[in-house]
Amino acid sequence: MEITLNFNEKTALMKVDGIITSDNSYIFQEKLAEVLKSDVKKLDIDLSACRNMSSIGIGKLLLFYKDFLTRNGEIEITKSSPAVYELFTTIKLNQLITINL
Amino acid sequence: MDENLYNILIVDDDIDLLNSLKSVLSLYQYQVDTASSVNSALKKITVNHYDLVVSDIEMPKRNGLEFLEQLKKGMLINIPVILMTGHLAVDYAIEAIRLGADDFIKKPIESKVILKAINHQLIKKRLQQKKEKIDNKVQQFSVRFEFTPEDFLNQSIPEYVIHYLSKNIRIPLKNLNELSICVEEIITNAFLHGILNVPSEVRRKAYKDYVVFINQQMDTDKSKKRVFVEISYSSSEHLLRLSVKDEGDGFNTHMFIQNNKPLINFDSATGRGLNLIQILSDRLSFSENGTRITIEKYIDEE
Repeated sequence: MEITLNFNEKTALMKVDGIITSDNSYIFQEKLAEVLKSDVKKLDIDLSACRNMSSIGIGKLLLFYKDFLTRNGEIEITKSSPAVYELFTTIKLNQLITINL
Repeated sequence: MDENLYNILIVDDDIDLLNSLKSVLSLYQYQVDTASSVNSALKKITVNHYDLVVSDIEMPKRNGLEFLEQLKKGMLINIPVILMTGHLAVDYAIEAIRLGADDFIKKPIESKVILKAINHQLIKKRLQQKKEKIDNKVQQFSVRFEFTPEDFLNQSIPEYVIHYLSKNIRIPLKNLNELSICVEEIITNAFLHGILNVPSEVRRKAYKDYVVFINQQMDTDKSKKRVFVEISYSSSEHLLRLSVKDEGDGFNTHMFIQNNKPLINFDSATGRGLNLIQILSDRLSFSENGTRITIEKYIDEE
């Protein structure tokens, strides 16, 4: 699993390639922490190459969401693979975060 | 053979060649998709179904051999791969065969050569599928694994189990993705929660603090406990059963949601894994005081 993170003025752009599992979720956590430390107000996540995400990965995203929200941050999943899109809509994560296919 | 049923992915950094091959193969009613890099091909392969891949070997960044290795060690071991190369160096050929290449064709590509190679691989694949269909009629697959916490920390057991399943049972990618999350959640829970008793607050800590806690637990008798993974598959019912027993405390079964519409637990740090398993499997049950979890999942026919 690989994660690239770039900053563009007030937006952070994250791209995940592979499956977020319990083994590698700490990488996801560390990248999200980098976003939290910055002064960006928006995080765009590209999950088109992310084939799936475990509950630990979802947990990391939710923890980040709560912290980011307290400073008026906004998350958008700009692209997602069919498997991730289906998973996130099934668990109703789309009620919290904008998710695009 | 009924060629128009087959989807082919061609991978080459030479766009002119991609267009030209696409035109030729389309004339023979193949459904052709193209990718100009290995990364692009890997992305396409995760979302689309292909019956065969034709890939160049020499490409910038990641070459055809790396691509082949990714395919053959991953979930797509059964897709035939034909490699194209400008020069058939022996070293390349040996490495490609070791990695599982099914055929080679030399550049510049002649239409009749590539058509013959594709046709040959698709016939071989169709015969293999027929054989598997016959075998599957009587197939009752059953296997049992035993793992220690040390195994869990040193290798990806969920990945190993899924790879084993994909090698032995024909599972469509959608089912395999769903199963991979179930296997991941169940096995991770068996070790982290069941045996090593990692509390949720430790899981939320920075990675180095988490590692310190795990190492402390591994210095105790907990490191000697085992997890048993039992898998059975009935091809007549298309039903896969996965049962995992840990010698520790098992699942936190009071989180087991009895209603039929499980929702992810956004506010609690625990229970999400169980929610996912319940959503992605067809049946979920616990026994032996929560130390054995069993799921059943129907596998779609391809």
